[in-house]
Amino acid sequence: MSEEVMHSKRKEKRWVLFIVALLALNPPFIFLFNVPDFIAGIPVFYFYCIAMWILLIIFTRLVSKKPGQ
Amino acid sequence: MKASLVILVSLLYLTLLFVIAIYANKRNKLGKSLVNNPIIYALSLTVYCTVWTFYGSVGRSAATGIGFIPVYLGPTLLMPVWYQITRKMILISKHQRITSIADFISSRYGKSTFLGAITTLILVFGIIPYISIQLKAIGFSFDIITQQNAAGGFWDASTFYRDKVNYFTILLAVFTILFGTRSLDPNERHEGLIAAIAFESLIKLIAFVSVGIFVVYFLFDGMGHLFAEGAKYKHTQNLYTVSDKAAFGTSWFWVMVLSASAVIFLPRQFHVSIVENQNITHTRQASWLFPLYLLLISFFVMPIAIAGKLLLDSGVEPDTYVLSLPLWADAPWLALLVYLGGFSAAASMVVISVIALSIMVSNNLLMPLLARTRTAQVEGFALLSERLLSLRRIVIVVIMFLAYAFYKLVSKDFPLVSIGLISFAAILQLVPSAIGGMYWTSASKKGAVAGLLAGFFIWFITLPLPTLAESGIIDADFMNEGYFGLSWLKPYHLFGIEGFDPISHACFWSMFFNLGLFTVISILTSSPVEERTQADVFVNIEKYTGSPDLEVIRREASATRLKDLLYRYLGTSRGRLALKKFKGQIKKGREADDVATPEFIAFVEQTLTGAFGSASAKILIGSDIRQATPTLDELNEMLNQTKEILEYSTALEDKTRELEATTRELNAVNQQLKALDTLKAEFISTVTHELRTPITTIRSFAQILEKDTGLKEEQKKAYLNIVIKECDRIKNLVNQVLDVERLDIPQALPGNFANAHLLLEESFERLKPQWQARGIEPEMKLNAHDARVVLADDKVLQIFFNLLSNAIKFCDTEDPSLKVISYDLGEKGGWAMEFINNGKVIPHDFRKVIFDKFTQVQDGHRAKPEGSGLGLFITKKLVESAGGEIAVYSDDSQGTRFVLHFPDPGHVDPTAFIGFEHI
Repeated sequence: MSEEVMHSKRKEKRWVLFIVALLALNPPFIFLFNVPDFIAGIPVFYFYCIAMWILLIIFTRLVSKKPGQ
Repeated sequence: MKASLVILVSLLYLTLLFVIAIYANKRNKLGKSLVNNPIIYALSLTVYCTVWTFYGSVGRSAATGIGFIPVYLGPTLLMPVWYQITRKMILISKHQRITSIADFISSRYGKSTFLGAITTLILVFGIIPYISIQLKAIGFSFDIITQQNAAGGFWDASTFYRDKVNYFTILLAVFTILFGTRSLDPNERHEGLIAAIAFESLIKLIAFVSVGIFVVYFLFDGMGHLFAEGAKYKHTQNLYTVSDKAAFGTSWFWVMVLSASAVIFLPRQFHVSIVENQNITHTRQASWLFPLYLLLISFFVMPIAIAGKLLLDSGVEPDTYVLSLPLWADAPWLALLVYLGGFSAAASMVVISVIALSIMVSNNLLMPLLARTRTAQVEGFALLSERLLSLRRIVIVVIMFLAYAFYKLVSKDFPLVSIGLISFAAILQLVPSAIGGMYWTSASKKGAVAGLLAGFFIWFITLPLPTLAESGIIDADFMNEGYFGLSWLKPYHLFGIEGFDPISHACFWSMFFNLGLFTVISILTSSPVEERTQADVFVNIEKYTGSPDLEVIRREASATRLKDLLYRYLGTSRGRLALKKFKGQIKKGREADDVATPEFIAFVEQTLTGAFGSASAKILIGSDIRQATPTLDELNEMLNQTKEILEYSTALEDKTRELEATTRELNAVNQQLKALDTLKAEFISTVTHELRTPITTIRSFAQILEKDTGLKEEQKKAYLNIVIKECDRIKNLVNQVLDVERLDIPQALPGNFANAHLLLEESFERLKPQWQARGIEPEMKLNAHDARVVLADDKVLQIFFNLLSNAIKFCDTEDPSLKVISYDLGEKGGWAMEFINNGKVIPHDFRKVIFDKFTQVQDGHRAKPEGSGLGLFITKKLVESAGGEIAVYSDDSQGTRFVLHFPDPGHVDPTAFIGFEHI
């Protein structure tokens, strides 16, 4: 794959990540987790937000790596 | 804790920050920058986390549970795209020497002074409430840690000098002046300041995480325990889920939008992420380090909020839980660390914001005004750069004072976050014109102005004014009755809309008008050249990076004047330094004739832009550069160049068309040659066949004559006759072939005329046996008055022989009819002769090639055609050599007609030489 193709692929990935995160972290999707329950002792809603946050950081790191790294 | 100790620690801490800043500056001068790395860059971005985050998040969480989160999730989910947007903004800003967000917008829309000024005003109005909450937080944190409220102590703000916030405000103003206005840097970079900010960011994080761990693991037995305790009480258990989903969801969404736009366009964010950026690649790491920082500093927010609600007195302000909890648990040193963390958060925000605002106010608001007064251009006047620094110092003091006033009047009565969000909503107004300007070439200044003003107006009447009313500063009647008593102008329910919280409501309506006017007016208006040039630079920045300014308009200036400008506005020493730097890059001797090169003009302009902002630089330099008014000659030159290019491209198009035509012709010729090749092959087989038939006949008769001696004399004679006839046939055939060859050689005209009518009659006479054998009664209507042809008699006979024998051959067998007519052509001149028979219709395709060499009628019904296929070809050539034409028409009603046209003999010189056209 040429560098240019890689570059535009990466750009697309960033947008896809952004859009997926936007949908996953907004109403009405977030209300799926609006239940009075606990995961590992933490309220489900809070847990979901933190877990998504961590995933998002990991994926952002993946899509912002230098090509070939 | 004693107030004096807290004050001492605060001062020591500020001193430490100074030491760090000075050290960083020293390192920078040695070329070993402390700041030039992605981690420091990411830490400087976290100036985003102010006291709002440090104290306010917990307050917000105590009221809404996870409602504090979108302020951090918004930027986090934006990060993958932030990376791209920021990189583009960095490229643009470095190329255009942009030093603030107001400059960015002004520069995009044709370096508009007006746009820069209104953006600056919006930002000043928008950010002052935000700064005021920093002052508020420093104030209450001081109160809490020194337990002023409990003791009713000295700092009760009963008189001016007993109000500690005064002193903190003054301290921060001095701190900002020391950090931000030490010298005038054309790039507005402050390495030392960034190092101090990064350090403060670390302190913020360490302090907050420490409290988090202390609360969760020392005051409780971990997260599970804390949340389980919370679940026991209604007022804390309520925070785990959301009851009013509609309101929560709307607010969640808009706060995300607000925070995502704030993380790019807040003046301090623009300053640290764009202006102070040392290396564009730092954005790569920052795009995940920054959200990681946000996560770490937010992780303990909700547990601390729950713990505060569980453990502290209900009278304690939730915004102060972070500090109150360690004090409640008797951990004063931790409380001091928290105090320093909060102080760091406030100080870093205030310093960077105020510096950024002061750059904007001086460069985009005051300088343009000052430069317009022209006193700036009077010789011998004090250096403008010095004036600029003092100007900035004054601006810093004024902004700090305004923030202080706002705190005194409004902020002290409101939670931190609710005031902060008002500022965010102001920042949102910049998004359409800034983002639109970067990705949409048609975005116009008029659209941007309309959008910004409309958005700002809506923001002003839906957020700050109601807030002022709620705090009792202005009459609150309009809150229930609407502005001017109009019920559809209620500040929280514009146009009667219900069900929005004030922030979402303001965001929606301000964006509705801002984005709407911006886009519609941009589409409906056109922009002047300079604006379009800037638009192209902003939208297609990749095209421009690495190359100097592309000059669209030719500009002229005196090099000495420009040098003077630099000295005057930058100071002699810095002006020299800048010139030295530039001279290294250009060829020497080009300025000898005092005409500045376009590069030099661009350089001076950019240097001044860096120092004073694009709008001011435009005004300063304007009188010295003759621009945008090319002379008639230059215009002509430009026109000529354009014309040349146009002509060149037209020529190219023509050439292409010619080539295409040639190709088509070549193709056609190729087809012809191929057809000819086939014809030749057929001809050879025909001719050999034709030759073989008589030879076979001759041979067999000769054999009979040789062997059979008992033949009667009569029979012998008959046989010999046949042999002679067959020999004649061969001779004829060979002659025809030779005729064809001869036709290709140019010949002289015969020198006299042949009488066509006479020769036609002779031909009929000679062909009598043939037409009689077929039972044809030929008709002749010869009406032409002067039927003479400039050809030898035998040639004319050959024409008639060929045409007549064909006509006889192809006549209808049942009811044959053959007619020859001649007539005058009248006006056209000349005369015509037609050979008409009622034979089978000649197909159209065949008619086209009937006069070609070697063509024979291909007809399945007939026996093998007789002849060589040369007859009509020879005929045509002969007719043409007499200046005539031949054509064939064939249909059911009229039969087949061979039509000959000959020129008027009166106009032909029979002795002229006519060359034969080669095939």
